[in-house]
Amino acid sequence: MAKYAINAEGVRAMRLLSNKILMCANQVVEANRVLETQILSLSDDLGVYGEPILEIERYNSEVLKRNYDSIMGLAKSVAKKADQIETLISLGWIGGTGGSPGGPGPTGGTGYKASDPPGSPVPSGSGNPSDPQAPHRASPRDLPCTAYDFQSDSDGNLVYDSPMETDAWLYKKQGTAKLWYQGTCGLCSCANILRLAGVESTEREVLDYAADTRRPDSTGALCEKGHLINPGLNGATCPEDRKAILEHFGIDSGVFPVAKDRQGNPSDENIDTIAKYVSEGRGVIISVHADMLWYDAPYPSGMYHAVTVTSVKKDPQGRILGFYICDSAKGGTTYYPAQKIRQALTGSEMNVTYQIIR
Amino acid sequence: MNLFQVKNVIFKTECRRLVADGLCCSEPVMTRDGEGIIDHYFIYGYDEKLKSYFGPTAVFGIYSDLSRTAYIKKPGKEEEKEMPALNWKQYDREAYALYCETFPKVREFLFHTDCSEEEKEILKTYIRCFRKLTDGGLWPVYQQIGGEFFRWAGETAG
Repeated sequence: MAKYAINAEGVRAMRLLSNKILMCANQVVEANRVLETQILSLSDDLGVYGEPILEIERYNSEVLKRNYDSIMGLAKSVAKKADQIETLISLGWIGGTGGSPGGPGPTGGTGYKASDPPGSPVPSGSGNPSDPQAPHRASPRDLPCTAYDFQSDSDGNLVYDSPMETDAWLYKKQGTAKLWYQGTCGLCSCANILRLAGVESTEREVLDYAADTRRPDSTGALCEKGHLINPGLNGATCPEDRKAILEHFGIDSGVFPVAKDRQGNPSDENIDTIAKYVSEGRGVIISVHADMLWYDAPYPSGMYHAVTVTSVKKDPQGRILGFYICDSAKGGTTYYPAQKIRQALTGSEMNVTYQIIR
Repeated sequence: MNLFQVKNVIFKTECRRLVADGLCCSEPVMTRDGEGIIDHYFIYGYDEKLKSYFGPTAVFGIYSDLSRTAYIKKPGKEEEKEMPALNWKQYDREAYALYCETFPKVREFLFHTDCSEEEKEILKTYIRCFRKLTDGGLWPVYQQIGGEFFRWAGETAG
């Protein structure tokens, strides 16, 4: 059968193609930036040849920039075509894969896809589908700067974006995709990053990809799986797994270390760092000691848990007061004071998107 | 190295891939070989509703002073067991403070055969706090990974 046939498999293949085009384009741009930096760092050694080499590199940058927009346009067209075909499938005008519902189903803006099994949870909250935050895109946003600002709350403090409204679109109940995968906090966080980036994403599709994909170093899959004694053992991810997952779904990201003080504890610097990334419109997933958030434990007892940071609150003088955290194990978004988050940080790296997603 | 510095070394080695979010990591248990002190850990899961732990899913050791992995073992899935959570959500701040304080000190005289009375007291305090802070349900696994340490501690501190 043709790879890009007009069916559910073809839709999936087209989306993958769109993501790959995006990623390749971003990788070329990034490689060019690295090249420019390296040339500049060698400028003393290059002597009289330095300036001509830089001229060539600048010319390359211009050509790249002109073509980048065309390549982005192509990726978007492919994704749009995939959307159109999926709409036709959901309306029953075209057959899906064997067993998929042929009847009509909701489309766009609600997080439900025709390929999800009946009864799949829709994000709770009755968000208005015309809300600009509603995830309805086929590909993640990649903005030149954040589209959101800080708003004053009732106490006169400043809050980035509108975290409780955003909560309506986020995945809040881990473990609902597959019964035998309950430890899916990191996977839900990836789905939430995608949702913040405007893409309809579910725990199910992220889980399916992670469970079926081997790590590059072959130490296992991109999530824990195959444990038979309890479903809580399945679905766990480390930051590098999540980076690979996000990349597959079209988001370029890095794993950033958690700064430590001299005693080895997470330092205050992390508060500024997380606040900076979030308010720049980047997606941020942090690893926390769950018991310190959930039970107010005075010290960690080793429960590692991934959550999504969706907003930051500052006082009128700009001091960071706290963070809004979407926790897929606790039903959604909660505000925590900054120091509580700092203390709860494990030594595990945080995931931060390179691209600005909102 | 203090407790936090030792634990941070996990994330400088390939063992960081084992400490996945959604799972739990044990406290370190020290032993020593020709290359230095090995800090042993195990990874396990928990079920909040059942109040049980499950695993271990992996056991690993790190030469923390050298920032190097000593070993990684992944038991077969059929070897994973259910372990009751006996101290679920019970916290002891004083024990934790003493545990953190005595950890680096015990490290200094680890496996010494001629410990002073002061060192024996430190070791006694360390073990007492360790037992308080780590759930009794996980004790069999701790003994498995650090039997040598607990035997020495028992013989030394009484």
